[in-house]
Amino acid sequence: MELDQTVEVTEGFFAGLKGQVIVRTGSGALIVRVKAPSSESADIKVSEAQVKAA
Amino acid sequence: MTQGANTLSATGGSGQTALSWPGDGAVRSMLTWDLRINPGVNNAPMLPLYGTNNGLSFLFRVRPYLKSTSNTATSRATSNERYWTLFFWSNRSLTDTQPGGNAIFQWHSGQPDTYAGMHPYPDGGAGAPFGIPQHPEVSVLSNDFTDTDASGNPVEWTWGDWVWCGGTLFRDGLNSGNFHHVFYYDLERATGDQITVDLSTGSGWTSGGNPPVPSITMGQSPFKTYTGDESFCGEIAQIHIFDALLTRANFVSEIGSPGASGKQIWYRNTSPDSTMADQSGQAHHPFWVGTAASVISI
Repeated sequence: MELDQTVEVTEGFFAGLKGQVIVRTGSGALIVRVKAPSSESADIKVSEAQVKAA
Repeated sequence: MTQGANTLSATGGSGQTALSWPGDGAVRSMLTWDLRINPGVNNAPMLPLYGTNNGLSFLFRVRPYLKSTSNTATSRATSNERYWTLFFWSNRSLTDTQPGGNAIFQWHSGQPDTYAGMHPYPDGGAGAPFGIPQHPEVSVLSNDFTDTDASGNPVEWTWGDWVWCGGTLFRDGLNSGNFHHVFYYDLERATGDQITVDLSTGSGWTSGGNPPVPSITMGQSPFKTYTGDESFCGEIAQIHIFDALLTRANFVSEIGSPGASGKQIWYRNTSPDSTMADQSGQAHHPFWVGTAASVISI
């Protein structure tokens, strides 16, 4: 995944949420900034294996 | 190259000295560079977080000891929280009081901004803050990023032995584009041993500009969020700081012969003493907050 790419979380507690990749690490960790149901944005830490391009 | 065997060192050997921190932070001992060009006038730093020409890098020769529950050949007993500081570029309190560290760290509307740290993180075992073992990390954007091996397990440093480590901070372009952070935590290992963290400009990172007192600190952190602070555990024998982006190959050439990379040096000391005067000719002399760390022969 690339920085700023829009992705959808496919696994785990955050499955179904969409957001933009704001952090990418060499070991495959991502931080995705998602729009929470409360309309506030939140940053969630996931792995590349837990997301797909949206 | 052999792990931890110091095979790259052309400048080590008898007669050398090193700074020593016991790891428990019982004595305030923080090597500090106040980066402000005009203190009291503004907070513009002479060496910004990402350098003046797109790149800030460091090269250190260190011997770290695991913070643990007993003293062994590779560990030191520490009973307080096991956070570390090898290197921080961050905000700093001029009064250096405790408590209050969180306000110093979270200086931008209650959030941390424009900082970076590279050192071990105590996320082993039961996890932070007392975790054993600690794992090399890049600390940025309120997160702690470690490296994993092929099995997905966090990797450790080489404890109780000398290692060369390097770090570099840069952006896509001069003062623009995404942010990149690379920590080569053991330059003598295979080429895979590095932590890379890329941040999007969309993250809002550095939106607060420079912190009120931009500083580089080593050995201990400027945050003082708990008694003992975030302390290095072990020895530091060489410090090279560059106002430039260095690659792994550049670091290796510097280990073999300081200056060989041709990159702009900002500070250098290869024979630590209590003054830690700049030997690079740039006159970027640090000072100690608290007392000077012990100097030992190695």
